[in-house]
Amino acid sequence: MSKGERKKLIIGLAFISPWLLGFFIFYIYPFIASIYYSFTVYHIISPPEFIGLRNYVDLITRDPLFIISIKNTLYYAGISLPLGILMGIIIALLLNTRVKGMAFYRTIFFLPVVVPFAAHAILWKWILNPRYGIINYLIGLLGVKHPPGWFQVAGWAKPGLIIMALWASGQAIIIYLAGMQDIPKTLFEVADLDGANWFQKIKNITLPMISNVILFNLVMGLIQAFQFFTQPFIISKGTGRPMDSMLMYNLYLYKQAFKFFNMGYACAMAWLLFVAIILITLFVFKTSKNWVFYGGE
Amino acid sequence: MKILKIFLIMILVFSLVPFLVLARGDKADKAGKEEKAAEEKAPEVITLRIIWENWGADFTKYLDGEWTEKYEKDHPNIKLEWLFPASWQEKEIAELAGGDMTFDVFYMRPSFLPAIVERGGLIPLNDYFAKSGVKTSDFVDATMVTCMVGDQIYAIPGGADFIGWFVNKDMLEAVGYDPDNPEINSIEDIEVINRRLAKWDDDGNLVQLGYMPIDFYQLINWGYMFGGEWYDPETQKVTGNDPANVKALEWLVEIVDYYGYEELLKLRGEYAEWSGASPDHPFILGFTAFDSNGWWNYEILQNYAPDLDYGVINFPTLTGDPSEKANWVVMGWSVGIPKGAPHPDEAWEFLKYSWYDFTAEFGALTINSPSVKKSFPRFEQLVNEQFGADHRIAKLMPMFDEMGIHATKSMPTTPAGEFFDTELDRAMEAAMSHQMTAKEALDTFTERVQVQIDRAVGK
Repeated sequence: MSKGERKKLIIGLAFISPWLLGFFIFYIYPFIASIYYSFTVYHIISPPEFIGLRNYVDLITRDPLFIISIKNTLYYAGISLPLGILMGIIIALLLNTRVKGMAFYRTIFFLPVVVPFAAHAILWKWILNPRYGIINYLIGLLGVKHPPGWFQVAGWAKPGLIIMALWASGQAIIIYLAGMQDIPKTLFEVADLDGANWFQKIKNITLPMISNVILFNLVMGLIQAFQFFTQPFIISKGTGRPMDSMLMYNLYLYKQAFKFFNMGYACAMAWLLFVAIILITLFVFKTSKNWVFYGGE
Repeated sequence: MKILKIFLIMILVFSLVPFLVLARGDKADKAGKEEKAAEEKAPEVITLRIIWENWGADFTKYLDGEWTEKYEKDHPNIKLEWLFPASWQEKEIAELAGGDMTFDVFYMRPSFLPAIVERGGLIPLNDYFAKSGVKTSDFVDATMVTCMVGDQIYAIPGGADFIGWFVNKDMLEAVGYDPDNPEINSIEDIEVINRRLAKWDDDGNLVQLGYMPIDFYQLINWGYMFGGEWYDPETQKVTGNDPANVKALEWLVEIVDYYGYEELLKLRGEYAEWSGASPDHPFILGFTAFDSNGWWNYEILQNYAPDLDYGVINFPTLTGDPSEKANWVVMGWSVGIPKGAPHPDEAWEFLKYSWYDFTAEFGALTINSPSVKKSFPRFEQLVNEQFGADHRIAKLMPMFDEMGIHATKSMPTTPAGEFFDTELDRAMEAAMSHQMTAKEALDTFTERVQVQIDRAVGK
């Protein structure tokens, strides 16, 4: 590094020093401290006491709720992510057509994204109300005598959460749409000349060309799904019930930290989640070589 | 060169910031000293900072309004500053964890107090009690016991939640009961009226019921009624699987089976609030004939259902024998002084003033029942004055006070804190959904809560 470059670096660092300070104090320090706390019994208001790996061992061998929260989170991620991708692409395809008033439709699909999570949860609690909700009313019109109990009955709680999540997938839709609009028109013109039908164009042009966007949304969706918290927290009033069906991993972590004051235990949970997200993301990136098309490669 | 100058100036500015702050502080100190000198003749004004549960503006307005005015008028040198955070537990924990305590008074619920006492978060009040001539026997036993860990007193009982059964007179009359004296005194009476009141629509959906048994408070209550105990503070052992508690849960499961668990859950989910203040409360809407609640419920009923003809009866007991009233459970809240509080002596004076000397006045104003036994007559008198002796809730007050006179049981207070309540709810769900027998569910509950307690006390 030349003298001039070093000067520039120092000046740059000086300019971002307020942010750096905040980053180190509010992110890096807690991040590192949480590693230590995860090896302690730490009740927040009394000093932490080192216990080695006991929190991790207890989590894996003695805590059935830990396993339940993992299953719930995997169930939610495993269904909401593929459905979200499928629905996002279909809606983006529809929004990519030339129809009068398209800007209005695009706005409508994006609107749920700007609804705060809390309002989102309360709104859907009413929409999916077993007796007075509009969804059950419509189901009733089809002649179903016992419509689902949604958030009140264990078996229907997670499907309810998934429906809620799909409603708010406008951000992914906009990203898919941007990806689709980036596809060179010449590719479709050539396909038209070759006599390709609509489905063949989707399969052979659109999907490969937006595969990098799908990868992006998949990774972001994975992270969000594993950190899913606000909606189940509000709907279940912080309990994760009925029958622990809405006890997502982050909700359980929150309860351990701030309801039961087991901060050390919660830190161990947070680290396991961090490692799990990294491993899954790495796996997705590793396999993406086989299905993501990068132009020019 | 120019760039280097800019960099040097920036470094200089950043280096100067702490000095500027110090200089400002110094200046402020000087100004402070001058002010102090000027104020030496005048007595020091202290601000007591209080963390309180957010009861909603309809109720907190009495605290930071009239009660504060009254207190500050009687104590010209003390100001009260109330904080009503979204989660008072988290705020109190954060304040304790921060180390530099700036609050003087903490509001608490029974499940919270022992959990923070175990971690050294509260000042013992034994000396204050002794110096002030306040005796533990002055309070309703069931509320006093939730303020103590062993022999140490860590809080003063605040409001006592004396619970009665609000009954919908029209619904009772419709199924053949005398609305003014329905004679629902025992579990047998509950079973009978449940069968008379339960209704399903043509599609088999439950649309009306009598007694709603899904709530951990109900299990705690019936556990005591059947003769059980939940926790032994001497040995720090959970006794949740006491055979009497198992019997109580089995009885609740029988009631649930009659309605159908899923139907009950669905019915419960149809309303925004089952137990809180809400215009779509099922009792208000006439879907359930009973609502176990405190006297503060009158205001909700007055606001949202002024035409509802209701009465209040005593909480039923096991056989209806009057001696069983001792097994009634009193809930409530308490008030303590956190460790490191800046003004502990003044905080104690505030505690004593609000929840001992003038607890009847506090209760009548803020729609709470007092915990000091000798204050009951004064409290009833104030309620009568406030509402008028003909007001129906004024007439019903003795019904609530009766619980204060007889009840000896309180919500279990363990170092496991809220974990206890959470796990009990889970045990009820497991039994009511028949995933476990009542015995298995309470065995699991006992084992899990014991682990949490051992962990909390460092075993």
